[in-house]
Amino acid sequence: MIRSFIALIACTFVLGISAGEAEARRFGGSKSFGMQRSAPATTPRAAPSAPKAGAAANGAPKRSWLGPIAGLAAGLGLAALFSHLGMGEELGSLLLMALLAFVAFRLFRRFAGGGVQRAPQGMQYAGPTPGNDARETRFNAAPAGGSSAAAVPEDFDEVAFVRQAKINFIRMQAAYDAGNLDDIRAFTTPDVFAEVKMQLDERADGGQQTDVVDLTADVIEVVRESERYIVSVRFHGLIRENRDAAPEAFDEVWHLTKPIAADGGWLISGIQQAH
Amino acid sequence: MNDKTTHFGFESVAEKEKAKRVAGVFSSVASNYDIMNDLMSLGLHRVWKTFTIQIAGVRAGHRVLDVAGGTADLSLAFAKRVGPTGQVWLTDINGAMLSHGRDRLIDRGHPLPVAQCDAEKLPFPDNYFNVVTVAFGLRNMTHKDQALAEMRRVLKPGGQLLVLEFSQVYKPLAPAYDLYSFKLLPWLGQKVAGDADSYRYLAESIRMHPGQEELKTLMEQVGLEKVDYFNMTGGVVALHRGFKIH
Repeated sequence: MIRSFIALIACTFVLGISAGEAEARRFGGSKSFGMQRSAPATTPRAAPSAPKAGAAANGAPKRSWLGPIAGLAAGLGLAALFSHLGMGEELGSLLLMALLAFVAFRLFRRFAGGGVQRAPQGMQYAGPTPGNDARETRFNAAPAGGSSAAAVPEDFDEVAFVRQAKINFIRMQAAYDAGNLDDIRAFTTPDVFAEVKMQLDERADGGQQTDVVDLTADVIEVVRESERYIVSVRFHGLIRENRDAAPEAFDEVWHLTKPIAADGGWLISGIQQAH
Repeated sequence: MNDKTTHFGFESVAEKEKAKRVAGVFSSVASNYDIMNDLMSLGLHRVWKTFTIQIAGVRAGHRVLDVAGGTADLSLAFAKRVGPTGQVWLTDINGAMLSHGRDRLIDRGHPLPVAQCDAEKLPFPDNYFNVVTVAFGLRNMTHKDQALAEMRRVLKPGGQLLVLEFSQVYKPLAPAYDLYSFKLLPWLGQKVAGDADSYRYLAESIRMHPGQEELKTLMEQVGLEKVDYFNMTGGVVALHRGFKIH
């Protein structure tokens, strides 16, 4: 009797929690809508190899520091502790010296090993790198999609574009949380706005909180059509859609458009989930 | 006029020269500053910063200024605490460092206002911030008293200034610490960043920075009150705290 009662309560809680989770969503409700393009749907698999290769090269030495640094950190702390406990200056210094020597030795070995690891990366320049391949197919694939594609224009400042795209991504999450329709209207095409507004109308309660925990963006395609530019930006990283919940991975492509002739900024024309 | 000198590491340079030389060091190390922090502090800077964040006691709605914020570690932590009603400003005199910090903030979902400015002439009104922090930045400023006075000026009455900086190490640790910072550090700097000089400057500038009591006196001289400090890791680093009462 009691057991079934507890089970009932447990069920209520579980149902309650899952119902609550269904409410909170990021901008666009993790759905695909508006403009959908075929090229970017495949490129998120291929494209990352280009930036990732660079990132890995930069990231590798950083990671290798953690081990020795942690060891040395512990050492310094221990030495301070020994001294503090009155174990004598000699012991503190000696221990620290020993640790330093040990760490220096390990670092030296890392560098010796690092030289070997770096060699193949340098040699990649001799032949076509996987990254360059991906880049080429990306821009070759675009004309197959039916639009007249050009490579990234000379004057296209990708770094600045990505930075602004990230800022707008965060801004849209905040506007979506607050139900700020004016802000959303300023950054979306009418049909995307209609879809987003519908989602907000369906959301019964007043507000929610979405935290962008980790955000990476890559421009995966730049297309010039007769009347507009289309830039597809892939956003991925971690996002917390429910307060107190663990952040979850997300991966979606936003298609941004801007008319060539008329004034006006970049508008979100469509959102496409990677999966 | 130009005869006034100040120290750049162990060298003596004209006051006007120092800002330029410091800018040179930080422009050269900005790209791998994160690695360098871990390297120089053996990873402990994360602990020191965490402690600073705890002491700061920043709450929702607070206005916080992170002077010489570098890669924005403190700003990021404060941004999470102040919420939508608060403000966190990140400033640095070095454009390369500031861009790096700004990009990190965006990548972590907190696009904060940033300003490139000299800590000796802060572009903020009087009595504005609840908390002002300067972590590993004061050492590089030419006129420390002027910078501290400026930070006090922008504080609200009741607000606190936190200075996290390298300090005078506990005596028994000194030989090992010297060996580490004058021999090992430049060597590592050469290996990692190909830039031994910048690392040597950093080690030297740490030695030239006032010790715990000196800095405390300096803070009291510019009008901060109830000044105290916390030694960390045997005095390698000290966190100084002072309040603006009036």
